[in-house]
Amino acid sequence: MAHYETMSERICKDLREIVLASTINTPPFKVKDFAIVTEERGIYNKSPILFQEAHLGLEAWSVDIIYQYVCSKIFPLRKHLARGKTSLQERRNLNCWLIAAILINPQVTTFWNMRRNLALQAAVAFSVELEFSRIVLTRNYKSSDAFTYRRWVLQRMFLDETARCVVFGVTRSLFYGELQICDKVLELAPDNYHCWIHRQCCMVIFDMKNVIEDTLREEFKFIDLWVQRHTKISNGYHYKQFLINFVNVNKRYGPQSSISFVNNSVIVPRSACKSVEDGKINIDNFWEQLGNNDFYDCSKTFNMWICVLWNDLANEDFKDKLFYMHENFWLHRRFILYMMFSSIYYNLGGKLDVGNEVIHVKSTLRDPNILFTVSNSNYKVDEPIFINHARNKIITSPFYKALISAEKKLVQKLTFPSNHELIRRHCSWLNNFLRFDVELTSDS
Amino acid sequence: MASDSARFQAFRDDEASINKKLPKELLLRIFSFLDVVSLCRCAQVSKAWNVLALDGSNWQRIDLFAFQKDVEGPVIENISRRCGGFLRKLSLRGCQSVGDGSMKTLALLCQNIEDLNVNDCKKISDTICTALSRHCHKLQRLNLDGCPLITDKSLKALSDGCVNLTTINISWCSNITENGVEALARGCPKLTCFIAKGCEQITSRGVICLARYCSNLEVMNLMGCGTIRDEAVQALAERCPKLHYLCLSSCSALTDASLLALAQYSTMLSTLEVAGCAQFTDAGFLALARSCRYLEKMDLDGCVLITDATLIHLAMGCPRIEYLTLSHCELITDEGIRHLSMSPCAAENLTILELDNCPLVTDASLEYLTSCHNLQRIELYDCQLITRAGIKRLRNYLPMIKVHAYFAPVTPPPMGSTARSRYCRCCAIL
Repeated sequence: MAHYETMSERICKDLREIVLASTINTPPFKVKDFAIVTEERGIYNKSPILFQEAHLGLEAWSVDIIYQYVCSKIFPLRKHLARGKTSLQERRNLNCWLIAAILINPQVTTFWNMRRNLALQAAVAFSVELEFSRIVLTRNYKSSDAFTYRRWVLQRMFLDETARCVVFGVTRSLFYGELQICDKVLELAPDNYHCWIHRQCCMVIFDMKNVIEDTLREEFKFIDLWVQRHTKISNGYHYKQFLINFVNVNKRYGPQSSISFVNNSVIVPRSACKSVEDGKINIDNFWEQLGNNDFYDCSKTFNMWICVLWNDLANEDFKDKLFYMHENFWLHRRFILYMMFSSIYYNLGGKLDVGNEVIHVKSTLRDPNILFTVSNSNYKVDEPIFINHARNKIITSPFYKALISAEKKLVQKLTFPSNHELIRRHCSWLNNFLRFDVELTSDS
Repeated sequence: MASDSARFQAFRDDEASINKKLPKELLLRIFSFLDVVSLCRCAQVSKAWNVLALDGSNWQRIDLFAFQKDVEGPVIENISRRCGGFLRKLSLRGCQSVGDGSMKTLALLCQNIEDLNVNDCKKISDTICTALSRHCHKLQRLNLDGCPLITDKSLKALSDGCVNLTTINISWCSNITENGVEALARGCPKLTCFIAKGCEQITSRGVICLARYCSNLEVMNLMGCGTIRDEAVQALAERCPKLHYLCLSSCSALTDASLLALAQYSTMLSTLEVAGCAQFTDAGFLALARSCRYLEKMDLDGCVLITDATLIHLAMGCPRIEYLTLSHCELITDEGIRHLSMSPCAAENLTILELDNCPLVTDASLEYLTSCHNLQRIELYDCQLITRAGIKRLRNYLPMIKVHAYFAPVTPPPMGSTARSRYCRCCAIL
């Protein structure tokens, strides 16, 4: 019906104006969140857009009409747009319609792809796109398309040298903006897989721009706190493992420049300093305990890497009993042990990084999901991992012994009737996988 | 077999029967009615047709809007070589790839061009206007809408070479200042149409110069030239008696003095757009309504000070009003609408009435408007006192009217329980 078409057109335009104004970032125009409001069906002759105290709303009665209208308008233009054969006016209209369509239904990937086309044809500014996808995320925080689109926009911004929008300060604020959005979304849904992925990808994207060196410390702090608050959600552990791998794999944190960085920003603040075995071993001296000082000198990256892992192992707080009741804790522990031993093994097995290069890590270890692959295997490995002389070297080292005793103590300390099964699995894993000689004590 | 060989014969000789029957002059005449695409298709038929279809005389008026981005420099150069002196009118609207080099060739080869439209060709700069002024002295109409690189230099060049210019559009060329406009005004006295939307650097002085030197001005659009003051409009009204279209939207510095001047001198005014001129009051419109009897279209969007008095005077003084916009005029009430609807213009001419965001308008207004037989569209967005019933009554009187308001569709009444059969259709068939 013609009447509804003009009405929808008007509403779409108003929505676009609000989104545009929201980019300016000043309080009265900044949209806090968006929602579709169920109210009595349009009794008054009043715009269905509600914009009060920075909350944007759309009355539910209008949604059907608008959505039908924009779909009828958008799809005929899809192919033209993809081939770059639309007029300026058509692109402007498409911008309006797509904003309305996506706000109402962000699940349609086609809409997002069309916005990509628009952005590539310079019909919309990247900053507006970031703001817009943020508004979409306030309502549909599980929309994977919105997250993907954000990443695409960010990458485009960095690629697009002509835009010159990316200077250092801006990059930094962009990065913090992303983290903020992630934080907000995670408050709403802690197990939001897409958001965690987004966070990881942002680390990778902004890593190229040399921003995150000091934010990495914040990230470690953040994730430690987060894991303590949400014990039962494995996404947090996943992210933690990602960070560990990130520090490991990333060449930027290679030998020279980053020793102090890792020491200062990752290790020291985290370890204030917990030690296994009542302070007998701490990070400073465990390499001496391994009995190889030359080794210490020639592969610093490797050392740091071990230190990061060590910290994670030693730094587990014993605050909350629930924490240890959950499988995640144990799985994470296994992940760290596995990483630790694998890297020691591969270094001793003839691949010492004498040239001070980043150590070779077997590709499987980069897989952040190792926690689950390990847990899913039945622990009964026919061939033990460490079979050659290198293994003997490890097994005889004081470091190994210290770890064994630490694990033993931990197991003893944390065995409760309710988590007996978890402990049993952990011990059998230690036995079968790492050749640890840990017995499950029946007392407790 | 015989017929086949005859057909082959025809192909071989390039003497298809149509070429035998029709002399070349007639074919050429036929081609002259075709558009660009058809001509190019014809050019692929045979050698003879190729020559005829690509003859410059067929290419006097070219509009390449349909191709936009595909049009690049070489295309323009080929066209200018083919057409030469034949080319009269060329529209390159939206052809963003076109640059200065090819446009220079065009100016050099097609010196008889009269109408050139380079709307949204963002790459072209002042050099094209210099070339035009040097070679194309017959240029009458030039559209530079949305070419951000154009500066005052262009206008100065045009004023030197193109004295026949009657229409110029420099909208959104934000680098143009009053100096360029002044040069243009001095050099092109035949100017009748001047469109400069969004050129914020054009000040009162520029407009006064235009008024002084170009007394034939009929169409003037200064939308968004926010620095313009009353003296500019006064000069315009005094010097340009033929003015019939004037757009001053978003020139928020203007006051009633402008309207009084327009009322005094510009009695031919038929369209007046003053959206966003919030300082205009009833007094100005009162004077205007008394003298400008030919007003047909008025856009008063956002003139927040006007009241019913304006409407009463308009209703009495301007019998030709077709299109009236009163959006955001928050003081308008039913009384004003009543007078409007009783006026002669309402009964015969009024076709579009925009009343959105007039919070005091009620259903009573709609009752009055039932007497406007020609009313085709009425905007009522955000008039919260209007009800669904009121609109329905209006529709009863004026069945063809389009009413624009924020009303949800009526939910269909729930279906009776007997309406559905208990079996689905396929079961019934079985």
